[in-house]
Amino acid sequence: MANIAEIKGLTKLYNRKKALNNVTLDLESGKIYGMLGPNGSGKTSLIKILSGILRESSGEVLIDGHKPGVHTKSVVAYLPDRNFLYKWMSIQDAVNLFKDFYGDFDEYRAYELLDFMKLDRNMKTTELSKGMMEKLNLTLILSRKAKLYILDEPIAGVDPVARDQILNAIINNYDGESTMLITTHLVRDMENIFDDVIFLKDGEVRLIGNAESLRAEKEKSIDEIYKQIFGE
Amino acid sequence: MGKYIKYEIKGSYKFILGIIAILIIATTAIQLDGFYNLANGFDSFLTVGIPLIIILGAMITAFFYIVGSFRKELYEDRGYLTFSLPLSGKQILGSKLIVAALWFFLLGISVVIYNAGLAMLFYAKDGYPMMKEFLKILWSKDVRSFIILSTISSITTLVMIYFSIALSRVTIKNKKIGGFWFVIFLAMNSLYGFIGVMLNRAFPYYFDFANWNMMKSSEMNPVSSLAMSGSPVITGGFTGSIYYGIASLALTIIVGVGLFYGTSYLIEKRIDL
Repeated sequence: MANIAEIKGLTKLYNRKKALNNVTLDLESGKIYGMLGPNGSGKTSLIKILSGILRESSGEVLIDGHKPGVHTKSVVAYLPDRNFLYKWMSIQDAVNLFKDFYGDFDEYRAYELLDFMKLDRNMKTTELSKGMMEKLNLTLILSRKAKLYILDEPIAGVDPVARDQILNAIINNYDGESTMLITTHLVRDMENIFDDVIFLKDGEVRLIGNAESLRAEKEKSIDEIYKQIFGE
Repeated sequence: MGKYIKYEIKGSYKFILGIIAILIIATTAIQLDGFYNLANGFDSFLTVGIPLIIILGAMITAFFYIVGSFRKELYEDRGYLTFSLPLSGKQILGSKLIVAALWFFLLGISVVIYNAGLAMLFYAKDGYPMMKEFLKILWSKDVRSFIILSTISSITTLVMIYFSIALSRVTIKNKKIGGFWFVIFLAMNSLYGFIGVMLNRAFPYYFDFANWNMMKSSEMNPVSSLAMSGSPVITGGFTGSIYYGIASLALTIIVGVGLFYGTSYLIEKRIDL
């Protein structure tokens, strides 16, 4: 299967601290990847570089055959771990913006998802709770037919009901052709949707493999493998 | 780029309309004061001084709001949206400059037109010839060339501010030290002014765009001492026209274009969110 992203010898330094250390990784099309690791393991740095909002210190990143830039931003749907919409916007304004800028945005899918998430499109983004904001951001991202979806902590800090809604939205809207890269600390809640998992520690890939094979090989759940690796 | 301009306008128009409303109320107070003082023959700080302070305050607020909108992209979470849109640095910066210029133009023109209309209303008897004279002055070659050249100079200053903010963000990673851009701006602006003066002294030719006439500074008595000092703009002289230093004007354009590309590069290739 073709690779949507190719990462070779990627290093990111913040002053002298290495957030990523010589990471080499390929992301295949048509797979859901779980990127797992504790705080400070380099997950967000890697995601930001793939999204084109952080520069690598050395190494190379290619997405859809291009270096991060205007083209890759048109094929990558990035869900940051924060409220990134402009404060003056209503939900409808946010839908309009995505429709205007992304040729792969499906407005009707967005309205269906808004209904599914029980979000009123006339609401201002400043009126939304954390859970509602997360659902709106995910609605916008999943309404694109992107080649690579990058979701940074999509279910962090939301209640169990909203968490289930978000997970269902991810599962129901994944078309099997594109690639998803998801980071989470809530491994137990999300591990069933991962095809492959990447364990990052101290900016390096500690373990990578097919989720099902890893479970069979180690006779443990991904959550237990996580605890084994990072609990050392 | 047009789409981004649309969202820039949508995000700021309410604030700008508010500023225009404040300016209109304040200038109305000044005009009313002028109108009644014709009859009563006295001035009041309350009716003139306070509105003048309000006008100054509103203009400064508008300026910092517009400058702040660029800063917010680099220092606040909204940058995650802006910089993940499939737009180049030049498109983002160009849009911000166009919208900033549009707002400054709208602020200026709405206050001028409103006050001209109000003056006609107050002084109905002399209003029409007064307005005609006003428009004649406003549309004179001198004023037109002044507006165009001031716009070029203002845009260069604005780009220099944006460049300072972007450079500050790239060099100082700590978001809490956000005011460092002002130090960079002051240093750059001083250097730019100094080089402009030096260039005008080395190449002492001045151009009058209204009459399409070039003069050497030594020919511009009685203001030759000012011209010899390398001032970028000289008014007066024998003709009463406005003369612009050719060397410093060329510098303004080169600096403006250079900093536009520099800022675009920084926000596209160097900013880490």
